[in-house]
Amino acid sequence: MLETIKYIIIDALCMGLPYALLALGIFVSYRILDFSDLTCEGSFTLGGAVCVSGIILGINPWLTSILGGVSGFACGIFTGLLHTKLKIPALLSGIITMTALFSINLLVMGITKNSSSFAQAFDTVAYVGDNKTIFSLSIFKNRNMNAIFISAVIVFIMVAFIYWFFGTEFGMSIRATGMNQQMARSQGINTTIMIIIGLGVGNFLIGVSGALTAQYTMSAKSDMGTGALVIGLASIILGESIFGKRSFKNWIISVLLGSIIYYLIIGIAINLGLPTFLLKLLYAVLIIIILVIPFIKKLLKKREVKAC
Amino acid sequence: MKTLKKSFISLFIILTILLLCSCKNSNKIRVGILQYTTINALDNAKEGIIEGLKENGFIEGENIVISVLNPEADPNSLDIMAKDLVRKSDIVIGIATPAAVALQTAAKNEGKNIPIVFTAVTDPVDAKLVKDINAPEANITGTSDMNPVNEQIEIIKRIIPNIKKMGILYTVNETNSKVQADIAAAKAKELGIDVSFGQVTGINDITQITRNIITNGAEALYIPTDNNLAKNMPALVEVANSLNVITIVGEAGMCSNGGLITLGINYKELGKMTGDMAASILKGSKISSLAVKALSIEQCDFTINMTTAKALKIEIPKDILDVSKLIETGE
Repeated sequence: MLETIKYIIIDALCMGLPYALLALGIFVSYRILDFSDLTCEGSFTLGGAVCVSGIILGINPWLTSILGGVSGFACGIFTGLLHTKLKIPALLSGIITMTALFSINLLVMGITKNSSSFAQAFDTVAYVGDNKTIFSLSIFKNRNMNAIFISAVIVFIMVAFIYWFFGTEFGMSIRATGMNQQMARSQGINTTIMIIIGLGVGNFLIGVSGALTAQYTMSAKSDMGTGALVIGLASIILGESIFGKRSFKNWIISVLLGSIIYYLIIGIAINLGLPTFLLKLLYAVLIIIILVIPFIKKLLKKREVKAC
Repeated sequence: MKTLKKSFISLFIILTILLLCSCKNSNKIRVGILQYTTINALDNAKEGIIEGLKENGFIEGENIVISVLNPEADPNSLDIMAKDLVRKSDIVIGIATPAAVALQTAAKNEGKNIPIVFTAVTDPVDAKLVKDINAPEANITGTSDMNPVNEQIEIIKRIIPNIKKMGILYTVNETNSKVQADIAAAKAKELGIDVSFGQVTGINDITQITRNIITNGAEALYIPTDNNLAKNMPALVEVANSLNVITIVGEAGMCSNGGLITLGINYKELGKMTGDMAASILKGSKISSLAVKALSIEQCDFTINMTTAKALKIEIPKDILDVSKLIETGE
């Protein structure tokens, strides 16, 4: 029993920490920039694909993880350019990038194969196999603890960076752009650049998240980004409603914890032993239960006041 | 804030109790099966595995406990379920490539040297499950569902002896399909047939791409065991039939959805073979002595959809017809 709970928590940390960066990336575009960015499903997969292909080609796994992030950054910039320069609506710009990335991801995963013709020069999965990943660096004997520690360090660095970045004048300008674009422009902020860079930073985090996830699961797949947006948004909202968003620091930490809570829910649902086709329903029910708690809390408070 | 914490704690306690109820303790051998998704072929493989275990004296509920998990192709649940099974089982069986890879990764991450048996994996070397199919070096072996692609392509030549050009249709993001398409193209070239590829990206472009490939001169279509196309066979067959083109498909399930003919793997037999392997591991065989197996061509069955054959007014050679399983699909 205790064993089960221990494992649910370990799993939530193993999977939730890499996904925390995804949630944070989506947080940057949706919450800070107020931009409904659909690029993430593509940039997440691209991050994983670039990372694994790089590893197979013999590049240092730490470097490929960063390359995964950089490729995500490029995707964000592209979406930003589509939106600001070509005046394409936000949602559509994201969809365009995501659609294009489907083909690019297949191409990237095909780099490591010797194909006979260009028409066959793609692949839908890339397996790490025996190659070294960042999780091969063993600090602890237990591989789970090792993975948690390494992810945690990376997440910590990224969070520290984001916290610092959005505290600089440049970062503040991005936040101002997200809050009120007209106001920001009248203050002399170049909102075009802010949107482009903001999306770039968001998708950088998403790319790194894809790279970590792919290394942890030892493979990049063309469908690994499916549902990434939903997971990210669910994590953000879970975190916000449980841990609040009183300050910027508090808000970021809420988002991170939200992602771990999301994976706790999945772990609990799987361990309840219901038929697997009911799982998604169970996820939904558990999420409703958690989201409803603040509401019940309010109701209870009101009653207490009345009773007085 | 206090009430919030209280409600959290109570929620946690409720879940703990639920978990407690779901835990079963027993001294039986625990077999974990991870089935990637629900399609006919994989369901049959699963039934075959359970049957194969049974024939070897491992009976569910008596001396073994089988737990089957199925993430319905969701990549997140897949990894967590794989870990869960690896921890709680004495042997794990993965059905389809992603499931097998997830189990392998989970066993590595858990540091548990659990025997892993896979089935319905097209190319275990490409998936880096084993390095050498004849001598699995680690804790993993199983059965491959490599289609008899070469023999399937030969059928085309027997139905249309002077065929010049054929089309191969598959979905770009399905690896297994691509592997088969490559083999099919090589075989067709050997037989002197020109090949054009039709790469589908989802469900929206199936009709257009099928029509396009036929109007470009394909006299026959080959469709490998592609999950997306298997689900959408009716749409594809309608186009092919209306343009009088025969469809050679990867497995029997696709025939019952309208495909003309196949020489396909019997997934139940494949499952049984896998069950046998699992049983011999449980009886103490070393994994390194169990090479990766596949069904022989004699164990594959011809299936013909007579409704489609009539619609196409096509003559199927009598020697094939005699050994085939014939099916009719109602209009």
